[in-house]
Parts: sequence; structure tokens; C-alpha cells
Amino acid sequence: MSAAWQFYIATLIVFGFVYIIAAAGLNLQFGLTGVYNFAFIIFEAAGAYCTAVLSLGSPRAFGGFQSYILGLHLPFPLPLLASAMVAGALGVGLGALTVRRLRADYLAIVMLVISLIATGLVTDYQGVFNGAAGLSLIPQPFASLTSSSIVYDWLFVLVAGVICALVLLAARLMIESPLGRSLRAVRENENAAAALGKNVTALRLLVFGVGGAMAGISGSLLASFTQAWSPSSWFYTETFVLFTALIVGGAGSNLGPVVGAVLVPVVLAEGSRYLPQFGPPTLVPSLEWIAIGVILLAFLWFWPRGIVPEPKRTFPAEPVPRPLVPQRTRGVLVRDLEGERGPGR
Amino acid sequence: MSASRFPTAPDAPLLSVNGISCSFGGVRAVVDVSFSAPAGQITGLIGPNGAGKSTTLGIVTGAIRPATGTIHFAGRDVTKLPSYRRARVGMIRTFQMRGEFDRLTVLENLLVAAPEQLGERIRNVYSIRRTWRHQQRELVEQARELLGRFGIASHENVYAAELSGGQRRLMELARALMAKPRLLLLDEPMAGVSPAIRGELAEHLLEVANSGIAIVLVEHELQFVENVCGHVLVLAQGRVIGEGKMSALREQAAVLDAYLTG
Repeated sequence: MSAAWQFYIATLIVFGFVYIIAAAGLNLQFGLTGVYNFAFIIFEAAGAYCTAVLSLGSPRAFGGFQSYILGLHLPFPLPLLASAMVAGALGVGLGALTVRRLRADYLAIVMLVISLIATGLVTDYQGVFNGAAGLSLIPQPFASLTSSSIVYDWLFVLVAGVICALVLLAARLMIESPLGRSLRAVRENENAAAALGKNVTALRLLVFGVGGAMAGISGSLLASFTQAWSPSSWFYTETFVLFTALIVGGAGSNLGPVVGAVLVPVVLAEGSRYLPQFGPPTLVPSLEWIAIGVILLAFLWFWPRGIVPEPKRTFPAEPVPRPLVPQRTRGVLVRDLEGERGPGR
Repeated sequence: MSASRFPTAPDAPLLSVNGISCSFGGVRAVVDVSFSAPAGQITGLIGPNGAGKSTTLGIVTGAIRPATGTIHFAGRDVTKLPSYRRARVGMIRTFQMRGEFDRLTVLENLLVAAPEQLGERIRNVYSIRRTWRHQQRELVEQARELLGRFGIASHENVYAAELSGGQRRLMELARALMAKPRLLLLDEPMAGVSPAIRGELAEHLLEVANSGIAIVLVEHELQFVENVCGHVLVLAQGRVIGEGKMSALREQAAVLDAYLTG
């Protein structure tokens, strides 16, 4: 296989992992908890920006052709971890401003507006974000390991795949735990959940934080791979691509985000490149968006549970084993964990 | 949670509502309503439509904030506590309409209600998996026992949305008990229930009250109220216009005027 083809396929796979991680984060918010976060993309953008400014060296090192803050030139995986934390913290912060006071539908409107404001702000704020031009020449995290660009690309695929697997595992453990059940209860009926002792606001903030952190990881990987960050890449329409992916794949299930992220942003969007050029020059790119919109409507209408629907969770009939002796876990006795604390009970 | 549940003096009422009032715009929905509910007894709230019964229940459960008045539960002022914190101290409510988690199975509906679940804390989800899974197995057994008691064990893997009206009421009551309540607040438990299940539901409520749980219920079905409630309050236009035994209330002129004769 030629080097060009290898680069192309590696790029597609990395983009697939990036979208899968983002869709997994959105799945926790929308699929599991019923939070319509139409500003999801800005958490991904925040993660990407964080990685950019932590990986890049001083702005003066490149003759000052682009303006940004920090420029700490940190090695991998510090920018990735910092991106997850920053995007997660941003999620909790924005969530704290909105989820306490707003119902789901109004929250959706406010988050959409926040997304639009954020894009405008970043584009116009030259000193910190370098305006519409964005940032470029972001260092490659594993460049020192190999001089071959092909090997580097496949190495990146491997690392992105491992990170993607870890994110999916973390999401799955959460979905299948009693915490995940409480989140689904909030999605189904927040008043009834509160009446059974669930702190609905805290649970929503939790998924804003965890989902935001996953978006941050996704953005960080993308910025590291493409070596660029631009406000135009993170427009609110990208959020709708992820929502479409989730609805097509199956919101609330473990595999739904994977199937949706592969089918919609990767196969469908990339597939439109192979359409023969016809009509005005902008017609084919526009068809991509039209197709995404039509698919979203079709699934909502005819197949609302998606290709991999949320499974019915049943419990096998089994005898209760002998009680466990209270054990020490990280210095805390299990019985100490009981009480009125925590977002659940 | 058990440690945080407040102890009660032997003769003190478990729930004590004192002079609560609430207005929506210019409408005074609840005006200076006071009542108490002792443990082990069923207290009824009745009245014509718009009397303020459900609003009163909403204020007691924390869904609606009162303009004036206080609510004490087991000797502690809970007036400013949000709904979820009241539930955590044992004040559990059911809903007049749509109280289920539709796309959760019947068994999952009950499991959500169980207090003190280790696996609900994100740190524990990843750290003490074996411990919370063991606790969950015990909770599943408890939930199955409750479903058996309420005669809906065969529906444990059915989505709540697929239950009939009567089965939903039974499930909601079983779910409320799964939350280990000290006080049950039931909003029209007989609404949408077929006559065949009504008697069964009444028996369950009496059984629950006999176990020492206080029950406050809002209901339109007067015969049912007479059968199960030891003490009844009649509300009209947001005020208490009579209280006592249902048989005695039937004789009071004010009650007859406002409610019983329509």
C-alpha cells in the first residue's frame, strides 16, 4: 500500500477514534441522563486548545506569528490529561450556571446560544486564541520516537485506539452501575428521581463534568494529530453531527456511540468525497449536510432507538453469597461510605 | 442514612405541618393549613377539585416552597430542605400522574429507590466494584420480595411504561417501600385503578401503616378514605374546613356544603 493510502487510512481511523470518544461523552449526557447539551463541541474545542497551548513552546519562538497564552511545551501525556481536566471543569462550570435553573428544553436553547457566543468570542479574541486563523505547528507528541512519518501515523493510531478503549471502558462501567441507573432515572422522570432522594442537579453536573472531560480528550487527540486548532472547526453544527451519530447508533447503549460515530461522521461524511462533481461547486458539500439532516429525521421518525438500542437490563436469579467482611478500600472503611453524601444517595 | 434519620419522641407526631400558605399569582392555593400525622396511622386529605390538596402535598414533599408556615419531620424543621433531602430522611411520595421511570424495568424502578447504594458514587463505580455488586444482589432480592408481596413479581422485567394503571400504582407503592420510608405521601393512589385492585391496594396500605409507617394520602374516593383513614382533613379553597373521622365529617354542614353535596 502506498504511503499516501496509509496516511489516508490512518487519518480516517484516528478521526474515527476521536468521534467515538466524543460520542461516548455525549452519550453519558444525552443518551443516559437526557441532558441536551447543544454546546458539546465547545468542550472538545477547549480540550484541543488546551493541548495546543500546553504543547507549543513560547509564542516568541516562532517569531510571534501567532498569539496564545502559556506555551509551556509540555510532553505527552500531560497536555492530554490537562485537556480532560480543563474541559471537565468547564463542563461543571457551565453546568452549574444552567442546570440548576433550567428545564431540559430551555437548557438546550441556552447551551446552543453559549456555543454561538463562544465561537464568536474566540474568533474575535486575537490575543489569546489568535482569532479566526487559530493555532498551527502544534508539536507531534511522539515525534521523537520515530523519524518515519508512516510509522508515526500508525503509532498515533495505536495510542488513540488505547485511549479510546479506556474511555469506552470507563463509560461502560458507569452506564452499568447503580450510578448509571440513577442517571437513567433522572432522564426518565426528574421529579420522581428527586422524590426518591436523587440529587438531580448534582447528577447532571457530574455528567457535564465527565462528558466534558471525554470531549476534552477527543479534542486533544485531534489537535495533536492534525497539529492545528481553528475556531471554524468547532462550529455548533459539529454538535449536531455528534447528536446524529448518537441517535443513529443508539443513545444510551454502550455500542451505540461507536456504531454512530463510525457511520455518520466517518463513513457518511467521507463517503461524500467520492460523489461525482455535479451542479454548482458547493452542491456536493451541501449534500453532506442535507444527508445528515435527512438521516437524523428518518431515524427519529422510524427508528428512534437507533441501530443498537439501549438494552433492557435484567438480573439473573441467583442466591445471595455470604456477606463480605467490611474491608479497607484506599484507607476508607466501606461502611464509612454510607450516608447522605454523594450525588446519588 | 439510618444514622441521619431523626429520632422521634414517643408521643410526638412524625409529621407536623404548621400554618403553611402558598399563592400562585393572585390565587391563594393554600391558606394557613396545619395538621399532623402520627406514625402507624393513615391521614386523609380530601376536598373538591382546586381545594389545595395536591399543593399541600407538594409543599410537604418540598416540590413547592410555602410563603409562610413550617414543616417538622421527626422533630426537625425540614421547611427549607429540597425534595431529595426530605426523601433521604424518610419522606417518600408517590405521584398522581406519571411517577414511573418508563424505560426502566419494574425491578429497576425499585432498585433506583433503594437508599445508601455504594455504586451510586462515581469513585466507588471504579474502585469497590465487588462490594457494590454484592450490595446490589441483596437489593435485587429485597426488590423481588416486595414485588412478590404486591403480586407483580412476574412483571419484574417489563418496562414500567407497559404496565396497566393498577399495576403502576402497585409498583409505585412497592418502590416507595423500597426507599425505606418513615412517612408515605400518596397523591390519589386510587386514580386509574380498577375496582378489582382497589381492595388489594387498601389492604396493602393498612398493612404498611400497621408496620409503623405514617401515611398521608390525597384521595377523591370517599369510601376508600373512610375505610383506611383514621383521621381526615377536609380542604376547600385552600383552607381546612373540617377534620376528624370520616363518619363524623359526613354530618358537618360546612363540609357537606363545600364538598359532599358538590
